[in-house]
Amino acid sequence: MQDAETLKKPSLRKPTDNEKREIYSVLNSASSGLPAGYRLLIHELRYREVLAFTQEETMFLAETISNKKNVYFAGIFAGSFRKDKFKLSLDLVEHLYRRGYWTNYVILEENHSKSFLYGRNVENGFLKLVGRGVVLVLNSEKDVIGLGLIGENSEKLVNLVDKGWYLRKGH
Amino acid sequence: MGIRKLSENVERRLVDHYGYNPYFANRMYSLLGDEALDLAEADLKPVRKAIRINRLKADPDSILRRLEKKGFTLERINWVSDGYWVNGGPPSPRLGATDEYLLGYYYIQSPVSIFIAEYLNPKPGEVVLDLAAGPGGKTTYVSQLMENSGGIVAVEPKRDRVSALRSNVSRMACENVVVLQTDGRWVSSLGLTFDRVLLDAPCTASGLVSNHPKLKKRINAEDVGSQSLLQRSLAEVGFSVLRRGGTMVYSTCSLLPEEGEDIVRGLVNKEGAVIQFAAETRQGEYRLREGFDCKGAIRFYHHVHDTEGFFVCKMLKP
Repeated sequence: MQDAETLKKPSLRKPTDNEKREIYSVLNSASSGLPAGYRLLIHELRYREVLAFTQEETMFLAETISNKKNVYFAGIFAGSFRKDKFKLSLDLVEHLYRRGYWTNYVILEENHSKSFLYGRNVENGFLKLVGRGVVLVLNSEKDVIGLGLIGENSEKLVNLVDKGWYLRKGH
Repeated sequence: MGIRKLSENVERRLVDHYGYNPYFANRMYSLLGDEALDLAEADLKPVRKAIRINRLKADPDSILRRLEKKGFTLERINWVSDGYWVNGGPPSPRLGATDEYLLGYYYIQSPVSIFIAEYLNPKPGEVVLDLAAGPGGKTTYVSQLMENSGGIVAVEPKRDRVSALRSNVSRMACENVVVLQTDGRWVSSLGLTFDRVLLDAPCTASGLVSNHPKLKKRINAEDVGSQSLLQRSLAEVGFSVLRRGGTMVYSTCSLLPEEGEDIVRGLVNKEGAVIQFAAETRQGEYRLREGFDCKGAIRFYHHVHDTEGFFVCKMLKP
């Protein structure tokens, strides 16, 4: 079957050294990192999406297909570049947390969790806080509900992204 | 005269009482005989709702406890793994609006769809093609069964559906999926071969009348013919990219053999596909209904199985 959309160049590529530096620096600043064996690819869209792969087979499929066709999505959405700044995704942070590679988190009490899921920043109401900076946000049942930012000496949790956003906007 | 009269009575009742068009009524009667009335009666009510617990993110016991605390009544479906009938629930939140749903702990899914993914029997580390992935109900379950290892290529041509597919893949924490927005007939040009292929083909949806009563009026011979051509092409592509010794499951939510048995027969006669029998599955314990003149294929009916009407067949590439 003919396909007019066949690509002239692959839609996925390996990250450049600068991109890798920026990604690792963001992860390091949160005392995290990618486990050994994880690979990254850059998805060239209007902005650059970063995809992470835990499985060689998945990455092989994505790369092979991208030589012929624009891959819509693959692996784990790790984040995106806006200009030259890398913005971490909730998907990757949740993945790292579940595997013990992400330690910064805050547990919110119930009312604050609800408020956070509606996209709001919250103040106080922390049941437990481990680390500062970019933190994974959990509710009192230890469900992951979002990603936030808590500055040094601050009691304010800035909502970076929450799972309600996925419901409101989708990916 | 007597038999013709009976047939006319059933067909007339399907048209006059149940609102089917004459073509659909005639097809239902010719396939099911008087039982067509049982199906029409069952299709007046919605099919039972069911969910699948996502073990990639959640422990079934804790999710069941949480949902029951919210007022949902759940019952284990004994012929699939991880599937539960939803026998009742509170007015709010709806099943698709709970925190647990949002967090990817379960998927609202027909037991037949759960069965189809299990019937494919994907193994960790394999490479699987889902040739008509839709919003990803089966893709995400295949990913779970593969324990997030190996790789799945999930193909979906429609923009709104492929966006839902990506969203569901992320929500359910499936990390071994490559999503491709394209016509499935294009897949053979990728130069890839797969251990298993799942084709839940686009169809007339004649098995979904209970969910979409307007289909009673809409289904016609022309539609059946055009869907059948598309299904044949997709099935041939799916079989062509299957490795030797690999397994393909073909399914449709259609009652009509042009979209089920005939497609499988084409693969058997033209491509040498070997039909695998269902005896190895727990479906064997569950009022198994065989396909029309197609030994080894399975048919599901609303009035028999409490689910959407489906055709399912598993084939081996020798």
